[in-house]
Formats: sequence, structure tokens, C-alpha cells
Amino acid sequence: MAVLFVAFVTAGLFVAQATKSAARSPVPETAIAHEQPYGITPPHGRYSVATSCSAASCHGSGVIGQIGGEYTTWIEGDPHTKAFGVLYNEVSERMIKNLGRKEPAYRDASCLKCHAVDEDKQFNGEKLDDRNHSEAVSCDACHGPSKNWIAIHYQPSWKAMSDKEKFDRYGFVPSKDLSARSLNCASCHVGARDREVNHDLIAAGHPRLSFEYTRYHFNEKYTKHWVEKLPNPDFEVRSWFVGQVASLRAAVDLLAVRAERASRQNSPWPEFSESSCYSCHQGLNPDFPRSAGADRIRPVGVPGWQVWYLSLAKLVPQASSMLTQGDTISTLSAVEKLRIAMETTNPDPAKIATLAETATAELDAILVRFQRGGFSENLSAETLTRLGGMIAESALNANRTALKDSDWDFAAQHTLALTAIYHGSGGTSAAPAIAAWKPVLLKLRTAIAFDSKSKDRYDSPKDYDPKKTYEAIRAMYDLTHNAKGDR
Amino acid sequence: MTARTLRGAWIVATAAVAMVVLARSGISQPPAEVAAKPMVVADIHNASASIAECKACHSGPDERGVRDFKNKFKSHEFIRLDESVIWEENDPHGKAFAVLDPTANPIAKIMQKSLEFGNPEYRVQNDVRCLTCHATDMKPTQKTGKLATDFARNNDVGVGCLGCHGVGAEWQVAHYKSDPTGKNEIPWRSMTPKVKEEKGQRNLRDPLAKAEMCASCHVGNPDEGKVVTHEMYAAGHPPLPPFELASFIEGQPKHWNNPSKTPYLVALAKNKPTDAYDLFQYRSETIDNYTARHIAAGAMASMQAEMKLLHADASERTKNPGHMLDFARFDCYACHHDLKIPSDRQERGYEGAPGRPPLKAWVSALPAVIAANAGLGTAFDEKWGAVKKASLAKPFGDTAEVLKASSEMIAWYKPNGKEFLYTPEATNALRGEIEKAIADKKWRGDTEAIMHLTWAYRSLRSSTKDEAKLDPLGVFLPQNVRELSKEQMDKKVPVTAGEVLADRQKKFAAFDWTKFQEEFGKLTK
Repeated sequence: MAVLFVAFVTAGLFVAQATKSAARSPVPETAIAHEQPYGITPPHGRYSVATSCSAASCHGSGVIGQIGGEYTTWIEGDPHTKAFGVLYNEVSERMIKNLGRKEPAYRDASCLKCHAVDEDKQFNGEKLDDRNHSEAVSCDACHGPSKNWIAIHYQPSWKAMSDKEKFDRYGFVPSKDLSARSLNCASCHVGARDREVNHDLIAAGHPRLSFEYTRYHFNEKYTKHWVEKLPNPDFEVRSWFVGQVASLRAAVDLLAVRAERASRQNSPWPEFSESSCYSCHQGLNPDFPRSAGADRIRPVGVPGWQVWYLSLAKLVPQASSMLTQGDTISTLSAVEKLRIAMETTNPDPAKIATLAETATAELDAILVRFQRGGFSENLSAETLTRLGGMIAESALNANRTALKDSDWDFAAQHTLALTAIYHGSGGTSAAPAIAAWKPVLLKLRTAIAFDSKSKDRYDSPKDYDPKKTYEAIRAMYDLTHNAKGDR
Repeated sequence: MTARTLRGAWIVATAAVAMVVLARSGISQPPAEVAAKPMVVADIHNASASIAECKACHSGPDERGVRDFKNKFKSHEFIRLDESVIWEENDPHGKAFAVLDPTANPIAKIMQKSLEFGNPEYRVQNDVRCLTCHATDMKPTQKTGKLATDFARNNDVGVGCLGCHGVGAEWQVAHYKSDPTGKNEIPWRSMTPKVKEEKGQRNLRDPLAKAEMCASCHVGNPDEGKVVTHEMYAAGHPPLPPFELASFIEGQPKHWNNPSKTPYLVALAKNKPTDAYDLFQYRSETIDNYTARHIAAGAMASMQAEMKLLHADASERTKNPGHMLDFARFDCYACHHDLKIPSDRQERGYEGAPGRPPLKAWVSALPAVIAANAGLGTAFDEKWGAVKKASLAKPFGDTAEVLKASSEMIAWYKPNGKEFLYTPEATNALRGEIEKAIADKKWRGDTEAIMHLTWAYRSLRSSTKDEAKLDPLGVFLPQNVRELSKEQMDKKVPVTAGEVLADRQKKFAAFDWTKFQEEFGKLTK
């Protein structure tokens, strides 16, 4: 209750608002200006080369996977080390050709933004060159430009500092804070105000971006150079939840930039990389479209906007009540307004820019609360079963006879969410109620899997059948509701 | 018949004439006030004969009531006289309205559900946007915008006789009236196409007029309210296949004879070649290849129809600067494909920025060949280049630029809708040029363009008595139109759209450019 109380007081006008309309957001827009989450802006400062961190007595002990061996672990196998090298490969060459760019990808500023440590920031007073870039996504890219904190971050005074101060004053990204961490990941894996993977790039050959934190994090082959302080299931489940909000926040902010740009100048609008890829990119098969005859959730013939990041947005209030100590979050009404406005044939960029700003504020208010803490600990199997049940239910229509949305992204997000809970709970060694999910999750994974039997590679769900996803989700619904004894 | 309905019929007929006239070179301009009037929905009820009335005389040369025409006027040497029977028993046009029935056709059911917009009263069978093409005269009246209640005459016939031959009561009586002085001939036959058009009959003996008429539904015509929008496609309307006149005609149950098999025309061409041409646009095959002329007319008319759709859409959208054109104006398959690696598109490269869907490639591929063959290549490339550039300037087009470029393309068509003459030499040259276009790497990834060109190529080869039937290509080419059996026609919905689509879309999805080129290379050696 204390947390809730603080939140309300900070939110300022809430009480007055609530008396007017209980349905209103508990965090009014005017309150947002007072407090913003840290991590929504890029960390400031100058960069250091990775060798500044790799001293044997600091992070380069040479022992993979151990404290003190962070640099060693990273350089030996972290996928981020390959980010720059791929700019030399065939795909990158073809992309540059198709885009009609003059410089090769490894010199193209727009590629280097994400594929190397930020190219236009200088460090040691020198302009970065290929050799620096070849470090790819190195220490400072994720931990923040270290010039201002490298000399003090091992001192006791540093440990005493708040995460907010570390970020605001020194440009250090406090990655233990899941909001700041996933916002930082999202700056490349979703996009940010100065970097984007747009539809031109994707058509030229860049893979689509579809960031979901736990999918990236939970990878047995990924030897991490850190040890999570937070034990499971709390870590996996909380990072899924926080990751959803942070990723959505990044997507909405990116829309805001694009909308502002389009309202000023004749730039591509709307940006198709924000639409659900496979709502358009599916062969016109005899059973096309997949959504034919389904309940209508958006105007016919209009692709869904950010189905990937929005599929679970409606669950935020409910999930919050399950995962926090009674913290209530209202429906994301500004986000929903934005979605409706975007899912029209010709959205007005000026109007969208305003709506996106309001939606960002709505999400920021939630991130502020996350950064204050107040999450429940040692989540019980019962809570997680309820959470899983809620996720399954949200994928179904009112009569539970079909999926609510036949879009592939919608199915994939629900699958990932359920998988995060399953893994967080320990998988087969979890409580029996959750360990029993395995066969259904495997069915779900098969239902959404891309074709891997053809000789060509498919980057889209060819022959995807929403009915199979429905059957698996429905089974998950029955399983979670039986387990609770609801039926 | 009231004066009002007559006038409505006259507007339709005259506007149809105006289009034909406009499209032809150097003939007179239509009266300005007629050209300016849109002919979206005309009050044509009671102005037209029913199919039953047509059948009275077109039910077979030896039927009672028809015999006179055969015996007295030798009409069987001019037309078949069994037109109604063929149409009734085999022609899919007769099912155009029936397929809108949601209880009989699952696609109609899905479309109705998707388009109802929470309006339970909505019926695809009453939707003007559907009826403009799917029915001959079940169209709303101009005055009320509501469906007329008198359906009794032509209820449920789909695209009946008058849908193609022209509405308007005058010609329907005049065209069989015998000579008042008792001569053994029908005066109508010696009237000029212009006079016939004024009385409401379309001049379907002119390939270009015919092509424009077919294209008005099979591609679209914004002035007649015939536009399949992306919304309609997304609701479930099957994708309109590229329209290629010669091969579509081949697939049709023909209730007409090839003019070279029509004794009256052959004799006339021999004795009075000028009359044969002026009255029936007929020249002997040694002067002008019938199929080649249809291919050219079909390609040009389809392009013109698509340009008008583009122009109308751009003109609507420019009211709101920055708006995209309707997705339906672009190549469906630019977006609607699975994301495969390697990708034909990425291998081929892009003309504009990647990720900007181009216009339908088939619309320009064949006209470009035809224009080049007729010595108009440079002019065509310049006009089309501008349209293309405008359409790629932004995703889904820079509307203001598209408006300008498409109107120039439309204007260009008029003087150049000139008649192309296909002597055996010109026909051979055209065949060679189409062959080259099919093999051109630039169409890799534009399967519709290759199909459209190949359909034309096959028609041309079979018409020039080439032995090769090009059957191996059938593996790659879907069949779009087909003659239906009597049994199929007896069903309310003879072939479900699902079945038709299954063949077309499966072949389309499976199209392998490299394999196709191998096979095609063998055939052309």
C-alpha cells in the first residue's frame, strides 16, 4: 500500500482526477513533466575503447563466465562482437547496392549507429576509424560512454550513488534496472530518435526487427558476462513485463519522430516497417487473407500498426496487479487511441505526433513506477498459472472459439510470453502445474514456426494457419483454468 | 417508356460512344456537356430488352422465328444466330450476379461480413460498387440512388447481352427491322458504326472498342463506378488477373465467329474492301492479323483503363496532401509475397528506393513492346517513365506528381490509340519482340508481367499456325477464364471462386523464374 500511496501522491493531480472519472489514467499528463524515467534519452558522454576495460585486474581476467572475466566472456562469444563484421558480408553488399548508397556498409553512418559504437561521438579527441568500429557493440555501447565514470565506478562512493544519479550525471546505464536496461537494448533493437531500420532498409535485405527481451536473453548458447542478481522466476517474468512496456515505449517514441518529420517535410509516411510485416507479406493463396471472416479488429484492408509491440499492451494493468504489490495501472488509453488513429488508410502525421507524445507520457509514467520498485518477490506457481491463464485468454475472442487477431505477430508475442513464464519457473523442473505446459508450448511453437523444410529460406510464416495456434492457445487456456480449479 | 428513362439510356449510350470516339484517332470530338457528365449510375430500367427478347431471334438458325432471318436475309452468313444459347449454356458472364449471393458463394459471405461496417442491412447484392460490374441492369437509379424495384425483366442474369452490346432501346429494335421497301436485306447492316453507336449499340467489331468495353470491368473504369479497391480485395474479392484480350477471348465460349470464317465479311472484303473496313473493321488476314490486333488493342486499352483509375484516385487523394494512393493501384505481389531468401526482387534490384511498391508491371510491359513495334517506343517510354517515377517518389506515390503524369499518359493514348496494322511481317516482328521481353531479366520477380506477355505470346503463336501449342508453359500459367459446362451453369454458383483461385494462385505462388526461362528458352529455339 505504501508504494501505491507514494505513486498517487507523486502523480499529483490523480486524486482530483479520480473523483471526476474513475476510468481516467491515474497518472495525469501534467504530472509526467515532474518525473521521467531515466534511460529514455541516450546516455551522455565520451566513449572509451574496450581495451580500457580489459585490464587483467579489472574485466579481462581471462576466465570466461566469471566475475572479473566480463571482457573475456564478451570478446570470446558475445553476438554483439559480430555486429560490425556483418557489414562486410554479402547481404550488406546487396543492401548497399539496392539502396544506391555510395559508401560501403561498414562506412555508412546510418549502419554504424547500431553496428558499432556510435560513429559520430569522438573519444580521446579523435575521429573513430575502422579499427575502432571493429570493436562492434562493445562495453560502452551498453554500459554508457565511460569517459566520466571509468575512473570512479569501482570506488565505494559509486556504489552509494543512486541509479538515477549514475545515469543523469555520469552517463552510466544502470543495467540492473530492468527498465533502463531494456530501454537501452531497444535503442538499437527497436530504434531511437537518431537510428532506425525502416522499410527501405528491410526491402533492401535487412532482417526485420522484432524485439522481445526474454527471447533475446533466454538463450542457452549465449554465455553471459554477468550473473543476474534477481532469482527466477521473478527475473524472467519481471523482465518480460518490463521489457514489454519499454519496447512499446521505444516504438511509440520512434513513431513520434517519424510523425513529426512527416508533418514538416515530404518524408515516407506512414513508415511501413511499423506495420505488421506479414499482414501484407503473405502469398495470395486461395485461403488468403488469413484474417478472412474473422472478427474485425481493424478496418478491412489496413495493416495492423505495431502488432508486435501492442499484442500484450492490454494486459499491462492486469499483469501489474499480479506482479506488483498491489500497484494499479489503468488501461493504456492513450496508446489505444494512437493505435486506432494509426490503423486508418491515411493517418494525419501532425495528429499522430500529438497522440504519440501523450502515449509516450502514459508509458513513461509506468516506467517511473517500475524504477521505484514495488515488484512482488518469489512469485508463486499459483500466481504464474493465473498470469499464463490471463495471457492465453487474451489471445482468444469473447466466445473462445477463435483467436482475437489472426496476425502472426500476435500469436508469436503470446507464445513468447507463456514461454518466459515457463522458463522462469524452471521448465520441466517447475511446479507440476507449470511443467505440464511443455507439450502445449511445443505445439504452439510448431504452429508459429517458419518453414524450414524448403530449400530456400523463408523469413515469413508461409502457410501459417491461425487455427493451429488457436488450438494450442485454447489448450493452454483450458490447462491454466483447470489448474486453478476454475472449471 | 418515359422521356426520363430514354434520356438516361441516351446518356449511357452516348458516353459509351464518346469513349470509343475519344479513343480513336482524329475522329470528331464528343459534345462537351456529354463528356463532362459522369455516367456512374444511369436509370436504364425499361430502356433495354431482356435476355428473353434477345433469345427470340438468337436461339439457333433453325428455330422457329429465326428461320426467316436465315432463309430470307441469310443472317447465318453474318452471325451465328445461336448466340443466346451459347451464352446461356456456357458463358461465365451469366453467373456474375449469382456469385454475389452469400448463401451460395462463401467468398460473397466473407465479403459481406467484412464490408458491413456494423450495418446489418448491408448486402453485397445491393452494393453499387459490386453491381456496376456484376450485373447488367440491377443498378440503382440515378435519381434515388436506390435499387429500382422492377427486376422482373433481367433478374439474375449477371452480365447479359446488353452489358456488352450496349443498353438503349433504339438499336434493339432497329437492328433487325427489315427494309420498308421490301428488299431482302436488313438496313441496319449497312449503317456506319457511328450511327449504330448513336442508337446505343457498341461497335464490338472494332478491337479497340471491344477492348475498352472488356477492360471497363476486367481492369476498371472510374467514370462508370467500376473500381475494385484495396478494401474490397481485403474483404475477399479475388485478385483481378492481368487482362489480356486475345487469350481471354480464347478461353471464352464464343457466340461469335472469327470474321475470316464469316462468309458475308469475307465476300465483302473481296468485293468492297473499304466497306468491309469502314462498316466492320475487317481486313483479310493477309493484310491484318486479327489476333495481333486484339493483343495490341487489349494491351493499350488495359493500360488506359489503369491510368484512368490511377488518375481518378490521385485526383481524389490530392484533396489531402500527403495521402497515399489506394494500395489496389499497385502491384499486389510487391507486398503480397512470402519473404524468401534468395529473393527474385533483391537479386534483380529496384528501380526506385527499395520497399516502395511499383505500379502493376503487367500494365506497361506489353504496351511498351507494342509501342516500340509501332515506332512509338521513345514517346511511350518517356510518358510511362514519368508515371513510374511519380509512383515511386514516395511509398504509394506522390499524388500530385502521379496526377500530372497519368493525365499526360492518358492524353498520349488518344492520338496513339491509332490502329496498328499487323501484316504478316509486322506480326512476326511483334512475336519476336514479345519473346525478347518475356526473357528480359528486368521482369524477374514481376510474375504478372511475364504471365501477361506469355498469354499474348501463346495466342499469337497459335494464330500464326505455329505447330507448337506451347503446352509446357501451361505448368506455369494459370487459367483465368474458362468455358463452363452446361452442368456447371445449371448450378447457382458454377465454380466456387475458391476453386478458380486455387489453380491460379497456386501456380502463381509456385512460379519459378529460372525454371520458366529454361522451359521458355527451349520453346523459342
